[in-house]
Amino acid sequence: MAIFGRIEDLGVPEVLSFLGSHSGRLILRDGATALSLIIDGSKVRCAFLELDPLDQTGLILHLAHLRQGEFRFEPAGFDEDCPVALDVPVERLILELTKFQDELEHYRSQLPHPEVRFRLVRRPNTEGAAIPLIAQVTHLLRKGASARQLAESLGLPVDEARFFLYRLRLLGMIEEVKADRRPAGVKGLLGHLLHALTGGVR
Amino acid sequence: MKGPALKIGVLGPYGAGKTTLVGTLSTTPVVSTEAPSSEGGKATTTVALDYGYLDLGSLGIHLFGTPGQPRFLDVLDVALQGALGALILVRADQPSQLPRARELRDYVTSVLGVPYLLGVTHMDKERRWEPREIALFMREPKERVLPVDPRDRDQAHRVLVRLVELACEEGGRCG
Amino acid sequence: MSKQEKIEGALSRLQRDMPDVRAAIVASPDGLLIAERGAGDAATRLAAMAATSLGLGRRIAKTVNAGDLNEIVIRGSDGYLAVFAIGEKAVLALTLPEGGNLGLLRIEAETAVRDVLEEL
Repeated sequence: MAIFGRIEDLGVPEVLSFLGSHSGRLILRDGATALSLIIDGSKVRCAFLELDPLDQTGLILHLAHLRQGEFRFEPAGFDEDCPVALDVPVERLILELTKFQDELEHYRSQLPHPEVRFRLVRRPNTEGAAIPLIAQVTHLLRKGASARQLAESLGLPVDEARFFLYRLRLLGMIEEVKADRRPAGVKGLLGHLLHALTGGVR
Repeated sequence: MKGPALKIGVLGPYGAGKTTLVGTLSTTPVVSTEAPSSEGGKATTTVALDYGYLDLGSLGIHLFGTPGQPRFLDVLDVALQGALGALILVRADQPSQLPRARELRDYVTSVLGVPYLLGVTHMDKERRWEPREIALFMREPKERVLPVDPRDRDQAHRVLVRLVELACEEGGRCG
Repeated sequence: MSKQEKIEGALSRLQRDMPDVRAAIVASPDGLLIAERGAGDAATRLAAMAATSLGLGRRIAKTVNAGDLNEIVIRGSDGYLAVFAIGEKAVLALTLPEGGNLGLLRIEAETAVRDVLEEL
């Protein structure tokens, strides 16, 4: 695996969300200092600032302050290098890091498009239930709703609704709803097209 | 130009290889609208669209390559009306563009509502993500994220065939 | 005065001389916003649209052998958008309500184009 990038491009919550189901070492480097997280499945087993072990509060604090730098992920067996187990759920870290909306600007490029509709694919668990407004919108999200629709329904600014959906997406709770707008009369042609493209041989 | 209009859109972030791909697939000279790029990495960039046509005899495919930057959303809305599918290109060596590629995928799924494939370009770069890693980021099955060199005729053709097969699978049998 | 301010100054002068002009935008040929007056939230999109129209317009003019592109005018029932090239370096887009004086606009635009070209 060769997973790497810049923190300012993807954002720490996104990196955690994406890697949260893998096992290995996530290294985040901000200039000179390196933050290492040993991740196993959905938990951070332990974390270090350089060589010093961090507790949950310390970890959250350091992650929250990481605005730029580089990250890379090295997959490995999960038992390595954890003298004392921290066992923080990755979801909890994501929730803590995205609690405050004045952080919004940092994640602007990741916010979902206001017209894209999302649907609930997983019921909120204990961590997810703590997100404000989740109870009010569950019925809307069961059918599928866009940020714009949520904003109208809740009387919120569209950007706030986008942020709300962004958090849900990080936690794997929602998925895009597929629109079905295929042009009429195409179906019959696709077979001909496939034939024409492949010369009948596939 | 014979037969009905079958149209495929080529989307992707800045510099992903869309113009190149349309050029490779097109059997007619590509009609491009380019301007000098202010953004670096290349000399020119698409400001309207790249139009190409793949002539297959009894049928043909109209290829519409679109500009990558978010400011050109209106062009996408207009150019991609009636498209039967979309190829979304993304570079393996620029993870900074993954959120933008994801946004385009969401647009294709949720606004256009057509079948799509993700094509990963610049696989020749040493420091890069693997297609299956990009698939994980995008929350896509591995089968939907394929490596492609947009300069290579065979590879471009293969990805196009796969897209049409997907359109068949998703729309019911194609016989 | 910075280059940016001088360009904005040229746009202000145009709007002062022709108050009908609602939005005035200068964009790069690839659609990036350089300066604007009166465009508000739509500025980024308008800048991209102006570049798209100019790019397409140039290609069309060439294809129909109309020579070098002078201007593009999009005319709707409620108003106009006029797009002018600023040499090869930038694009000027101006919006006018219905009934606006297109002839005068061309003259004013010519001055603005000259002023902005000096700064680029």
